[in-house]
Amino acid sequence: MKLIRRFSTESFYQIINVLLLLVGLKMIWSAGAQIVRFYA
Amino acid sequence: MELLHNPAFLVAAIFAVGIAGLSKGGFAGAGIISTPILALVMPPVEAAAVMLPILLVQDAYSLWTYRGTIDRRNIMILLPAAVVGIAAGYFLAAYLSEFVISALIGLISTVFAIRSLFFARAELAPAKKADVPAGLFWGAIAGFTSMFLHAGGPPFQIYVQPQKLERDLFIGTSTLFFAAVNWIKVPPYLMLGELNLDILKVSLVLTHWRSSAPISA
Repeated sequence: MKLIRRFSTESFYQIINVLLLLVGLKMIWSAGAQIVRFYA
Repeated sequence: MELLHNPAFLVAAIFAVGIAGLSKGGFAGAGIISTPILALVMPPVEAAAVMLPILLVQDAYSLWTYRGTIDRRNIMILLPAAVVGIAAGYFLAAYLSEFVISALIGLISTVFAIRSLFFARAELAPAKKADVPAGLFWGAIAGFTSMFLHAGGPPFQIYVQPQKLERDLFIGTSTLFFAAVNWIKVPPYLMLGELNLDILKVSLVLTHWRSSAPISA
């Protein structure tokens, strides 16, 4: 929490957007992996 | 308690609990990989059940830290809708395909993040107000994905971020929302039989580790 308070609101939103991007890609990857497993 | 003597579980648990702590410390989104990390060494539903009590304890700590920085309007809109979403997740889980929901939410999150990072001129766009119909929609989706995929963060962020709340207000609101959502998820987990005594013992040990090593504090 001390770490997050070093960032401005704008930087904070940039960070959580990067995390959201990674989360989104991870979810797409997981879905793809499940489809591959299903048809394998 | 056999799990606690499994080195692979212990390594995965240290990472999972630590990352969940970072998420509760304000790095919204990071927590989504906690359950999947644990799911590498145990069944996914069991991994989610192990993480739930730990999240409840972490929520209590975050709630205390961010007390007073909560956007009540967002909570009033999002939380009732999330209850509906959690109920839908519980009752429809058997009929829905996980990869379709995961791909859909993943795609929406990716597009939103790319747009926010590279195309939206944040300083030019006016802050949106907490709109009721959109809030009910995204709140229900957040509850649903939290119950079904253990990933309620993306829908919450997609709805709240355009409101341009101050950093601490965003974190405080997110903390209260997910603390409530996690508590609401307890009865369904009990009904599914996932929160049994063995799981709770494992969670208790991991929670003790977490409080001994406050990664995000």
